[in-house]
Amino acid sequence: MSRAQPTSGSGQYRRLIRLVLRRHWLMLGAWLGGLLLLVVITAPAYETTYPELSQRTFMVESLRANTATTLLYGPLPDPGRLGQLLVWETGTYVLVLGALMGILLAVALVRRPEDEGTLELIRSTGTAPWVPAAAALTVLIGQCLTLGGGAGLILWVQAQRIAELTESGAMAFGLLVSAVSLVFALIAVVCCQLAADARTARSWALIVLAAAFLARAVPDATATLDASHRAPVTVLHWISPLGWAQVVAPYTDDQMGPFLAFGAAAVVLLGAGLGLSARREYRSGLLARTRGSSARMRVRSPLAFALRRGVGSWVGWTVAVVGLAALFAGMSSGILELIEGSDATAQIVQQMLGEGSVTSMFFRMTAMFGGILRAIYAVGTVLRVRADEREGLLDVELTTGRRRWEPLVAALLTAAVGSLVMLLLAGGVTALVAQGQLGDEAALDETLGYLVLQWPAALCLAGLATVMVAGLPRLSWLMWALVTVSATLAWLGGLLDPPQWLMDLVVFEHVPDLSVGEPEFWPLGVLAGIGVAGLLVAVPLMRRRDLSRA
Amino acid sequence: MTSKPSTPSAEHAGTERLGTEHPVEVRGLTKRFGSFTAVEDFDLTVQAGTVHGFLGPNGAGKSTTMRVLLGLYRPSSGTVRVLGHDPATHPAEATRGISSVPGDVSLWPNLTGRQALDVLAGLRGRYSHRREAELIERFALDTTKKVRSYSTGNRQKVMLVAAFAAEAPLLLLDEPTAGLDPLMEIEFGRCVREAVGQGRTVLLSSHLLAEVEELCTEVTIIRDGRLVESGHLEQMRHLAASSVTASVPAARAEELSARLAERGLRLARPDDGLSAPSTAPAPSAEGQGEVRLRGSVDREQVTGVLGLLAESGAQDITCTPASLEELFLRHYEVGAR
Repeated sequence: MSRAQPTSGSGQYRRLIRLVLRRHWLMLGAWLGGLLLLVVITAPAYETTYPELSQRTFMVESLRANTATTLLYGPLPDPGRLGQLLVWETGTYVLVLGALMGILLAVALVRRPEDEGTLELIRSTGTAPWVPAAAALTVLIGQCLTLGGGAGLILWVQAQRIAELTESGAMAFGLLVSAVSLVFALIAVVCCQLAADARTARSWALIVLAAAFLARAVPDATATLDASHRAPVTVLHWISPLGWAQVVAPYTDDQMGPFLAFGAAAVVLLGAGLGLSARREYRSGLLARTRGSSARMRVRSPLAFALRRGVGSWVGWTVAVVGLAALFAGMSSGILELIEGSDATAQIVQQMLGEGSVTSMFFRMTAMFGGILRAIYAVGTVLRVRADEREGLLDVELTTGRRRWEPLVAALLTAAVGSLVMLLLAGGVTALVAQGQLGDEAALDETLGYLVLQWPAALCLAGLATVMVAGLPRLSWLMWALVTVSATLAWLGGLLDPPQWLMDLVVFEHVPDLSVGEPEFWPLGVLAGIGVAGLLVAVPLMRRRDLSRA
Repeated sequence: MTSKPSTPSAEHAGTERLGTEHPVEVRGLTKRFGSFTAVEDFDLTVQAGTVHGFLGPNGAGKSTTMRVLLGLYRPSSGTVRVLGHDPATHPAEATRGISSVPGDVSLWPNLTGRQALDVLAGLRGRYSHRREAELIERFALDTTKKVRSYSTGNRQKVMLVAAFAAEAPLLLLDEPTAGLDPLMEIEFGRCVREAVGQGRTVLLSSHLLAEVEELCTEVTIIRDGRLVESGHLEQMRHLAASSVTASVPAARAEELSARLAERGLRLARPDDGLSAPSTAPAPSAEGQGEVRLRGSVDREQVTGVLGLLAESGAQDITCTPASLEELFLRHYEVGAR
């Protein structure tokens, strides 16, 4: 009888890496492919639309004058070369999404296997605790470095062809993307050690991301710009990883020194994550409450239950949306300079857009941003039903004697009501703050209107999600792809200049300009109609199918 | 302590229609998933007020059938009536009268046990909170903890408490004691008997044969998605097979085996690998004394076999109806071949 040698630690490590890749290749590939695609198309798109630097002057000036864009992207540095535009616009988007990728992946790789019980399975095969942790971290770190490396490589290749792009800028941007996504991933790893379960850890990491965004946006929007239209780099820019874009300033300064500090931050976070993980019990968090609770939950219908379960996430999203609305509105006085100013830029903008349209543009953009967040909330609320189905929770709910469609319709109603209340709150805050900032320039009905008019978009997506859950449950995750593409086009569409038919499909793009004579409302009617039709289609579909955990 | 059986509001729960005799009636049920047939032409009748055992090897189609009864799967063909309703078209009406405990209990991880019970009670409506309090006590369930921190057994207890506290005339229990400790198993048995005492009907799927033997009056056996046997447990035992043991002089053992083989039968020595456990200790050495033989014999063959044994000078002949375990293994093993 031959006795098999026990697999060595490094052999186990390699096998587990293969296992992690096998389980998550789709998620890893989708993030990488999607974000790198954005990087690939940006510079050529800019080049086609504005081949000469001089042609960009007006656009650059108007973007600069819009405080909403400054809040979202930071100040656009002079003179607005392709690389600077790319880092400013697409770069911001890639950094935020890269951070999101890092967080979601970290939770999925580091903590979720523990909650699911698959880690226990691996540990019980005689694998040392460090091996699965090392495998997960290797894939996580590898993914972040690959994202940055890929972005840098793409831009380096494009620099060979496009004269305005530089090789050093490509390198700085690539490193920046790696550093930012990696640091957020490691922050999420630390959260995974502190929180009671994967979902809580994810929420905490997302709160850190939101705080990092604020820490960059507020000093940028309130700063006095210097002669070359740059906001001073503050301590907050160093603290917030999203502010590192201004510290490094790819294609402007290409500072490489700060990467030493960023690398050190990553090492400290990694050490903290490992140190904390050694101190906590399996399947619990260092900050998790273990005390029992005798709280009750008296609900009498699936709707009441859905509303009650959704309160936590609703509060989180509402804080984000209302906070953002307040932030934008608070910065709205910036556009007064455009309207009342007398310098050359102001005059051009006034001539081109007319006074009313400047405020209109500002508030529509603000509302669209809030609209995207609300749509994510609404779709997530509806897709929760599919998650419940997979976890067997829908079975439990239905076999108390409930109709097939009740939980699904309850989720859709929760999403509809939740997003409506959310936008009314955001609208109220926007109107109040804007009134204080702009006085009579802020037409209350308009500011409120732009927010309320984003509701049909959320309804439409929630309705589509309902149909997917009822009719094509296994493909319902595609809703996230739809939301991502819609949000990306809505956010970057202005400069990428996609064909009109494509923009017409973007649900966020149908809010009319209320400052013109006769705004078109029918597209909103269509959107709301799709939402309601989704409900009507979903109910019979849901009654006709098997419930399955597959 | 058990309370007096609560008023049988469960019995006339308003979900039953005229003209239905049995709480569960399944005729010719077939359920396919793509090209895979999980259940084929399956019949099941559960009589009111009984505990009906539902047995079969892993993957035989028990849970699939249970899910059809609950309206979670739609049958590919066949008719299903649960409390007079077709669960495929009217799952809510059917399940309103059913308390069920699934084989793999999932509960909302971020609720406490207390909150999960509240939700289950609130969604159902007809529910005895007094009975719930008593059951929590009996199952020694700590309801202040989050479901996330519960073991499988504790999650199962939550579902059992909810199932027995609900005022539903039919209980569908899918391996409900798989994660329970022996004390809790006993408590579970009591609960089932109380439920039957209140006039409720129980369909119990289980692998614990002792449990089935103790609680069930009728059983249905399913294998590879098909009905193997169904009926009254006592009758099935007698009809199915008898277990025969005898001590045969070693010299005549060969001859006896040959004659048995003519009838297609075989009696084996307890230690030569047949799965039935021996009741007697191994006999004296071969060649000199006697050889103890043991085997399972079909009902209609018993007389002939006993005659052969007597002719061979066998002694200490015993003939007992098959235990459920033997019955069960016979059916299971055929499937494995």
